[in-house]
Amino acid sequence: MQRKINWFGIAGGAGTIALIVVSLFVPWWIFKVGSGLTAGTGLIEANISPLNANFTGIGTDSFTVPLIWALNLTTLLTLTFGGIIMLIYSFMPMKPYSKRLLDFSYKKPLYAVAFFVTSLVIITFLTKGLLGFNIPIVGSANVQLPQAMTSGVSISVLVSADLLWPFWLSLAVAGLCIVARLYHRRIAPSQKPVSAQPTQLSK
Amino acid sequence: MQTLGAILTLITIATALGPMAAVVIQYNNNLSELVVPNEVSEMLNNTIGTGQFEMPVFVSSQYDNATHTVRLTFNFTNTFAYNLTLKSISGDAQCTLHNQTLGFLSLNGTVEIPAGETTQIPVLCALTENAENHFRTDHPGAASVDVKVLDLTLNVNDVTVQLSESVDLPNVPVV
Repeated sequence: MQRKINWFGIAGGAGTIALIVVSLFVPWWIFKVGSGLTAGTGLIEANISPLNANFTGIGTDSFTVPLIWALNLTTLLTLTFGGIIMLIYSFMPMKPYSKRLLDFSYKKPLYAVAFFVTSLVIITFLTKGLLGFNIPIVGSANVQLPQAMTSGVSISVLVSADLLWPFWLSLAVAGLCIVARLYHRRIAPSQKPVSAQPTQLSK
Repeated sequence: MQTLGAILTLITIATALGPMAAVVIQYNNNLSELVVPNEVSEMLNNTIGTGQFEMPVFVSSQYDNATHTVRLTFNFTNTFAYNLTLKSISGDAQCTLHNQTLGFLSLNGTVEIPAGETTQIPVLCALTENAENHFRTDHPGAASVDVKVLDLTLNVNDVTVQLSESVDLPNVPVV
């Protein structure tokens, strides 16, 4: 009998591991305020992903916020376990416990993407609500600081933001994991639990 | 199956709560640092630097008869603990006495201003035709006039600062 393998699961699991490695070095979203001394850098910069968030500011080395670091670590561990368990499941999708492994792992990348997108939307709403100016999620804009903050002097700052390729990779990985869940139905149709009592045939 | 379920549930709980619990325990003496780390205050100190923001100080000016341009020189002291790049300057020059527009200010190239140092900033003021008529009719024989600059706008590291008050430049030569 040919051994069944969930190829989408393998792609999703390997993709998840690759996404983790990539996200430690390349952010999903970059936000720059003003411009730094070298081309392409900002006066203040935020490099954000659900797995690694760091900030650089005027005259400071790169730093992170402990609360965000904890959230990043949570996502890192969740995705790592999700990816490994997805790979284990994919090589043995017919085992009785495989469905449980799949159900545990396939949603993790989707959760990471949802968490990230929700955080971005909350950040933009909070900035608008608390500080009174709009920041772009993608693109650049001249942000006019409220006069109350600038002692009557008019100050506007060029800000720019961009979603980088690991974000699109995360969408692809989340998609592959969902496809793996759907493909599981095809290769391992749900087995009805066997009844303890013998079924009586009707006459 | 039940053991597997328990292990997966344990993993979920541990990964969700473990890191958060770890940082709360680590920062339990100073919970505010959980959200605002020391680096933020360091950054604010670096931004504010050793003192207050100092406005550029007018040093001298020269008139170029061939190009009808006044070259103004300012000294700017960077009180920030960070190197700055002055990218542009703009503003309208007016005769202080008669409010007549004389010309428009621009920066002659970008200027790097190292942290804590004073750098000379060359600013050009291209005079309008009306300015020359104004000098002939309202300031006949004068070697210099008092000028004020309105809407002075500086672009420093893509942060644009526009002053609401005018800046006075005394005794700008016109011949």
